Amino acid sequence: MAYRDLGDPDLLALVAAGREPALEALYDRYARVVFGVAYALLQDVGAAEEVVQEVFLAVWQKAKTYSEARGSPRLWLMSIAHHRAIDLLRKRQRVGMVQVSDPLPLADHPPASEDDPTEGAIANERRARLHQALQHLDPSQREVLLLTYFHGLTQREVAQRLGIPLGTVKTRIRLGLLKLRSLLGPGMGMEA
Amino acid sequence: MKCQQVQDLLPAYALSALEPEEWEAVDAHLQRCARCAQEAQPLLEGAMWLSAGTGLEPPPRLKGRVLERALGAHPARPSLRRLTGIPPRWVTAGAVSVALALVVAWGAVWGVQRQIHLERALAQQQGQIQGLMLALQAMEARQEARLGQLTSVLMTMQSKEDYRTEALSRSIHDLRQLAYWSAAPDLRVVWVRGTSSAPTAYGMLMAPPEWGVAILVVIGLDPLPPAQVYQVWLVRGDQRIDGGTFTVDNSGWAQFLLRPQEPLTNFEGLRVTIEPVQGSLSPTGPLVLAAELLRR
Repeated sequence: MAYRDLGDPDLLALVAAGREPALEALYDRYARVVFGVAYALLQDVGAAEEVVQEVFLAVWQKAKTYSEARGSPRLWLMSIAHHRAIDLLRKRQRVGMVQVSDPLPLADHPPASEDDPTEGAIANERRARLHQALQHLDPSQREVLLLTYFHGLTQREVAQRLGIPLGTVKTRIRLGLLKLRSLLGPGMGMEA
Repeated sequence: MKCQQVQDLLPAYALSALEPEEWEAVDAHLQRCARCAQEAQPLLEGAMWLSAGTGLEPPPRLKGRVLERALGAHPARPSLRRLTGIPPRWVTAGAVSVALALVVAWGAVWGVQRQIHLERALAQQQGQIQGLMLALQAMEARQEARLGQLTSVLMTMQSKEDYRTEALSRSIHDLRQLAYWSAAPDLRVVWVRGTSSAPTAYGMLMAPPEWGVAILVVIGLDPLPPAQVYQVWLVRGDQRIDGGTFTVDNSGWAQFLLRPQEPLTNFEGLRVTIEPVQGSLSPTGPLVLAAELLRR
């Protein structure tokens, strides 16, 4: 048995115990996903690389704080990735490196990788399913999800920008996320 | 941060759409509260779908940079080689060379077939032992992590238990006092009515004859958000004198010990309004309870 044969919880436990090869195995398994999340938000390869570095540094330092009650290790890692990417996006927005535009992130994504046709096909299929599910959301829910997730606005900023109460934004986010999950399932965590 | 506040912020947490301090506070809460972590899971799963499908490859050079930065950031740790007792590489290499030389000599006597068979068996056993060691290390590391988490949960439970014991002891004291007063033959009782803002609420004010202190018992008031309290006012003409603040439990019940600066017989009535948590100097919120006091 090698490190790459271990399950995510075992790998994360070994990372928490300071085992370097476990971090390497985790990187091999998840670098692509983390990079994808970061690129989707930042649209910049250099910035996405920076996020990948910060995420695995955080995993190395914070693996001890992970518990199974928080969902799968993949879910935990992805939420760290998105949070770091949003942080960087907000910093870049403050210094005028990127502009908050109308939400149309999916159309802006570059085509999936040509190096690995299988991965590319899976990515394309996921993207198609997401696109279809988003069309089934109430437009007001879709708008708040895209403004927060892809443009890095806080819920308060969304309320100000749309001129609606904060409570309404919270409700739309909650309903939108639960609808997405019911349409698409929890499967993102199982498809590494 | 309390569970109710955290659960209100969970959807925005899942999208990282909170202010940084809020996000950190929710994240810290989720590390120690399994119930809220469970609430967060479907929201996080929904959010993760939004990242679907870019399918881009990170550049190969990135791996080296990431590992170098991460490993350089950690305090020095014992290496796997030291932990497992595997000797340094040059010793291993030397030992392997000697073993190989011996095997070759042995093979010259017993035949090449025998040598190949032994080498294969040895390699297979070494592979199995290494695999078992790795699995054991993973198991040990997971158990250590669980032990740490359990210790933290137990400490939290202990502190909550201490708080509950203290609250229970306060309640028993109040109830004893209430029972003692209720049994007094000359106890005065005044009924308190809910207003149109709280039509299902009612209560009573009980006091000994001298009216120096009184107990207000109310039922049917709505539990308030953390930023608000119920405030008691004593009425004398146009004056509204602050009588203190209280909150109700989840069932809408409260008992409140009223200790006015003057005897209650100096006042014409009692009012209860909803006010900010720090209390107000005069009534500002909706009136929920009212009673007329009989002046002596």
